[in-house]
Amino acid sequence: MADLMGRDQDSLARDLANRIFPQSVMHLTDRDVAEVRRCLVDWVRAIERALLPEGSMAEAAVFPQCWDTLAASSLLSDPALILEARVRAFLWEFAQCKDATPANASMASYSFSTPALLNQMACMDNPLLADAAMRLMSATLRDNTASPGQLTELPVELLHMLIWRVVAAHEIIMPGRQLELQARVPAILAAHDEGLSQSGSAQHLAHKMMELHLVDAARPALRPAQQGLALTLALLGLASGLSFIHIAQMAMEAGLARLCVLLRALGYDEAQAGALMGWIVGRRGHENAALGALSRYNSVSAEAAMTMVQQWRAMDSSKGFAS
Amino acid sequence: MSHGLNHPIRALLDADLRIIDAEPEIRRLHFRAGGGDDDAFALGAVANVARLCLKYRTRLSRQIRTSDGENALLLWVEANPAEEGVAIAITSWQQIVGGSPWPMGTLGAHAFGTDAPKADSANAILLQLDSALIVRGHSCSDPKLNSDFAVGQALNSLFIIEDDSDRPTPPLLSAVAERMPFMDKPITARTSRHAYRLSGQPLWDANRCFAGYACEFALDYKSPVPPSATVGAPFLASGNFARDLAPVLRQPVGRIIANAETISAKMQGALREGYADYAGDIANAARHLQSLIDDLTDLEAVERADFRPADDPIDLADVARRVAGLLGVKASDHQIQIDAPDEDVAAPAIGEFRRVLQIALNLVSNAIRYSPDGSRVTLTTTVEGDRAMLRVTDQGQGIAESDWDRIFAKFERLGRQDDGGSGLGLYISRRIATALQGRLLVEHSGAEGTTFLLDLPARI
Repeated sequence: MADLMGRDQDSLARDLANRIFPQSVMHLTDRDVAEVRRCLVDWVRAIERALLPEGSMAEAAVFPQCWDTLAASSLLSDPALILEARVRAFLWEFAQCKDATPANASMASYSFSTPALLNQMACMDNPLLADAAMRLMSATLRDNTASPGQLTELPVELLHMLIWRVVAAHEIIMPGRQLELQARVPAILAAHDEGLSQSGSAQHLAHKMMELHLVDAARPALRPAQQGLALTLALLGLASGLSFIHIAQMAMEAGLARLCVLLRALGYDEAQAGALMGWIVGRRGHENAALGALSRYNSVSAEAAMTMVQQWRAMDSSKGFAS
Repeated sequence: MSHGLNHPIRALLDADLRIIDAEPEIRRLHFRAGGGDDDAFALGAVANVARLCLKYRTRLSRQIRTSDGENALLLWVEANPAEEGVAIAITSWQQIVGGSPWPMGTLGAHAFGTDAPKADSANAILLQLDSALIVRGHSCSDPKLNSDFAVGQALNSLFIIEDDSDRPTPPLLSAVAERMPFMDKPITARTSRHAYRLSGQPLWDANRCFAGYACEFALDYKSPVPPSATVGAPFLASGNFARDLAPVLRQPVGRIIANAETISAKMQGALREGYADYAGDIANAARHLQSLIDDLTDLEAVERADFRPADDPIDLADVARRVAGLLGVKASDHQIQIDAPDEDVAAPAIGEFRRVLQIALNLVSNAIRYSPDGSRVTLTTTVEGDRAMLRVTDQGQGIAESDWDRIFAKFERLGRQDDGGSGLGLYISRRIATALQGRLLVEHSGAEGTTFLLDLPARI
């Protein structure tokens, strides 16, 4: 394919950032581009694996068969897709870069995957609560050990869109092929389950915890080391009315300034906010930037912070995608 | 029902979302939302999840915010495809007594913060914009200024938005795109050239939808009247449409399309007769606007002096076959057949694959748009000397010879007003063809149809 289009992989890589990242999305660093590309490559490869006849894929290939067509045709430039990839890459990287040294890596990964609180929840009397906790534990464990680009994490609208774009790309590569591929699309969708995703199960559990008054609905206690990142973000999302992906986006910003505004709007005091922010930045090495945001914490008026959160909510609700 | 479900509340809906079987709590929600025995499930948000589940045949798990008529409800809903339709399970049910902890409505002045400079109240003019940024009312009583605030006119048609920063996008435009408050931004009336400082607060309706801005204008005595040379200068002339304005426009237009399609598809429940069609019209208009933004972005790119498409080895016959595949469904909607070159035909050429594909897509899209249903669009490729050629022939009504060159002019639509085009496609295509050392022209047109010819340097 690369030869056919006269593009070698180097030139493809050089213009990739411009091709697949429209300016409307956001400023992306080289690292962002690399992370998002990796995630998108994984998603496209996973779809190809499910679509193409067995044995037709070269497992050792760096890129999926339709990758350069997709990239060159801007079919991967959807802002929602890129945002999703960024957030998934962040959550995965966060799990990986936990304070794990080679000596205690597996134990650290295990303890992150099964936070103490989830173990407690899984043993509680309410079967729906226990089920939600179990789902989150298994999703977290799976997501921390697999690559960031698992299809299980995509909302169904994005998965549907991406599958059909892969089909379209294959139609460009080989006219007439779409008839063969489209017959396999329903099977991929039928195997998908939003409830098994990390974000979906975390939100479900957060819901259940609030329903059973295990946490304060307006200002849930934040104990990230026990709750794990996904559940902490889901609790914040539920308390604020913001989507999971929006909260995750705030958590991955270097300075955590918007997370700071959110915590202020929800009424957390500086010490509580500092504890959460310290836990997040401590694993990402952005302490100085977060300290800057935290030092201005009390100078942000609570009312102004609430106003901003209301605006974010309005933007969330108009995007149309779930978590 | 208060809280603390320990088993899911279930319902089974058929393919038309009518209840086949449901537990009493779900039936009660349906009836309180105005649904009858044979009606589709009336609680729009839950019906929406069920509809998505049916559409994709996949399992969904979503949070739903809705109301039982008295209280706000926060539900966790799971939808599973079933043989009869869709199985719904509510596994978490919270009642929010007293409404949302996040009251909405007109925002107070506190959002400006305590350090906000106050406008000179003697000169301040209050003005309300609706969600399309059209002036809905104002408090101006000064006859000398009145013409600056015409009710029913769009903000950008009345004022020039100045840029008082080094940022690529004027802060005011950024704020509007993000529905954020803005404060003390420079703005100039197009007719009177009066300079103002503008502050605005976004407004939200009861459904938490953006409802416009409450604005305050203050005459800016310090600001000189802008020189006439810059006033009203077309934005494109600055050469920054793609960089500055297109991203700002794409986001709100995308939202308009998404919201209008949601309404049009009745995804939130039943609608009054005609209202869904109206929303469909809005979505269509916004889609047209979106394609215009795309065209203007392309236009700016191809008009740059440094526009240089890549010189890649390509196969025009291959391009033609791909275009035929991509537009096959669109053509079949009109029973139009696209004939592409056979697999063994090749027309090696030099050009940037993506750009050549863009030209071919434009030509074939036009052919489909202007051909009668049941007709044929033929793509043929040849190599003649050092030129590789692609011909797109339709069976439309033809183009008068006097218009053969005119149709490649910018914004030229030959008097057509309702075909959804921007009048830029052929202009952009010809610019690209020229940049590729090629030509794009009408080779022949008559009562039997039209043939467009794209020729490019052949790869020998």
